[in-house]
Amino acid sequence: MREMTLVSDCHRFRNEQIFMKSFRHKLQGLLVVILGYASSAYGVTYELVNVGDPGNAADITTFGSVDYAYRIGKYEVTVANYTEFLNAVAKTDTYALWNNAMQAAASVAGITRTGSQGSYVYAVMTATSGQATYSQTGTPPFKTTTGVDSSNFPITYVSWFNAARFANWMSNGQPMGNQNGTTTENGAYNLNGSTNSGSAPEKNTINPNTGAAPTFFIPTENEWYKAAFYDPTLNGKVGGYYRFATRSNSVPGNVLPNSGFTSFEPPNNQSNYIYGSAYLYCVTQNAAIDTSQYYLNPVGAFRQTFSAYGAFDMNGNVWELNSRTGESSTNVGIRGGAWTSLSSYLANTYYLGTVPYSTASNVGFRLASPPN
Amino acid sequence: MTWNHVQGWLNASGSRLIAYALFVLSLSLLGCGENGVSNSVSSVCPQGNGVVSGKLITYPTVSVGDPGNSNDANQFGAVSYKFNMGKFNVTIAQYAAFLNAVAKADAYDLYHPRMGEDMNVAGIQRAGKPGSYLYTVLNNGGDSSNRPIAYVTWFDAARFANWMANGQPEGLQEASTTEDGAYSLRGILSGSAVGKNVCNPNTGQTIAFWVPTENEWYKAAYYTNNYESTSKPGYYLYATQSNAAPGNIVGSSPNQMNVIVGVNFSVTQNATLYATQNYLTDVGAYTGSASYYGTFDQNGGLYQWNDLDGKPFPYRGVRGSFWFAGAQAAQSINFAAVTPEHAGNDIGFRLSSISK
Repeated sequence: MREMTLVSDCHRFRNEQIFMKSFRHKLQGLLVVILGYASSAYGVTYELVNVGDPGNAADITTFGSVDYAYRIGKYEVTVANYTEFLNAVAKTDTYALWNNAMQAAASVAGITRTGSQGSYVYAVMTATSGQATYSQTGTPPFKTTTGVDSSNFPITYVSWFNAARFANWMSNGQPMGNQNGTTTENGAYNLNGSTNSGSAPEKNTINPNTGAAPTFFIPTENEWYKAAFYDPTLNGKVGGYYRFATRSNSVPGNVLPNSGFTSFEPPNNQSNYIYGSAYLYCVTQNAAIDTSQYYLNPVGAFRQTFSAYGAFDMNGNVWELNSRTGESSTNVGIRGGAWTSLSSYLANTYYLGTVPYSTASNVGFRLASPPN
Repeated sequence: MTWNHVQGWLNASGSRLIAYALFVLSLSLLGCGENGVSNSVSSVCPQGNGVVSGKLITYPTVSVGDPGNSNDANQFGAVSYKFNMGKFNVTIAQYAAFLNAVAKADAYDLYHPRMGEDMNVAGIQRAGKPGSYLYTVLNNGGDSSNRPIAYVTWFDAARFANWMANGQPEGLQEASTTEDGAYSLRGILSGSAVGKNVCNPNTGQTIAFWVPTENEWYKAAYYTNNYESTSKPGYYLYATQSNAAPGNIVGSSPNQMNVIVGVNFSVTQNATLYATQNYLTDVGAYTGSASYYGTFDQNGGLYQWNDLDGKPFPYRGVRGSFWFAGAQAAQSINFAAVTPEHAGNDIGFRLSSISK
């Protein structure tokens, strides 16, 4: 709650002069940013990559043109990231940031919750015997045999409203406390308690808690699309778009390594989705789904596969939420395909939409941020 | 007329521009221009109401009344006019009849080889040579005639709509058969989908069949005038007059559809996908699971193309989920869009038609 204290201190020195007000806002923003970074030591460190080339032309699909520089998450927001968030602001979970599927859905879980309202504690579901080993030697179906550390898997069963609250919390410097205007209910988005109905609001120009532009937000569809598919070096450095977010126009493979995730270097153009006419799931390399099996990859597991700007897993693993045009809307966008997807759903030629309160086993998100 | 075409004319000489303006004016006087935003059924066409009698196939439709209904909270479903909606998806037998009528040469790829190869959804076999192609319905673990056709692009669906709107003529793929009618396609196989014509230039009449707008499709699927037996209007989450998660058992039980439930496919009631197994049912096989207006399979089986808001656009909508996805994708709150040249074992179509 140090950020709140700062705001109160500044209020004591409230000055009617606009210049001073502006200065105060800038100072607050600066201090919150500093504290936010300081708190990263025990909170969430969310890596970002630069997306430059402002003013790039739109793709033939009409998407992808962004006339300003920005940054986008290098990875999808993870189970560990989201657990930090829950433990910071969901001891009393007023706005349902956690739901039971995060714990119960074996194919993607997740996060356990213990205790009672007011003293909830959240924990990453981890293997009792160490890091998961996806042994892919022998004959499919491959199966995790030593349990799973889900820390670095993308979080799923998150709605756009959940993601917006995470963005607010990140923009507010990862504060601890109840879910209120200084933690989750305002910041990048003024949510006012929206959970089960209503529209996704547009992004705040100024975070009222910091007096500065929000530092984290859910990308618009164009921001997401450009970070995934655009490459300024294509067409003789005129710039252009790939069909897949793997710097490729060819359908990706879905081949995992032969040994643990810590040591492999798979070839490029790989993605966690259902491959080929035999419909092989990535993790198991088998067409039958196994209800006791995990189907996600750690973010960035395909270390040789990334977009032109260096973002990983923008195809496959989980579908990713976006804010469409950024205007207030009853619908939000989803792109990129997931572990449940056929190849065509990964491509730039496909998008989904849903309501901002919907959650699913194959939908997660990544955040964007202003430029450095 | 796409914007690119217009741009080309504007770059041409002034006389051509004037000629074009006169051309457009004459079309508008006839009421037969393209409007590009075809959200309403026009009654201004000079020759009549567009009722055409089909010779080769019968495509059953149901009446969707209640014009002027409101959108739901998701901002979909309002349609200000009466129309009819296909009771079922267009079937394999119907599409084969279409191919035999207009695709002996198949200049515009109405037949997709996977229609005969992908045994999960096949299909139709093609024999013979270009100019004398012959299409036959496959036996694929049973007669596939009454299963929905897959591997159809939006352009295929639009050409089928043209053919239906033109009275199911036989011949080459040209303006009078597949290239105009509901949609002025004129050989287009990729790029943006075009808007619906105001009138059918072949008949001078109102368009008789077309690809549904998203609101038409949505209303036919989810709207009811008797929401949960309250005699009040509303929208269900599923196109089976239900808000509850459906089952996937073929037969007369209510709220069933061809999607994966739990881990099991509907047709096999098994979790493993076999490359040689058919996964489609006959249309209407879930006999207790109709929408309020009496359509079947708007959820499950195959996703179905829609025209979004009717404007030309690089994407076209699909809704309804399919045999290899869960019921969540069938919910009214979820939608998808893909570029119109997409052909897969996930998407089929049904048509809208004029109110009778």
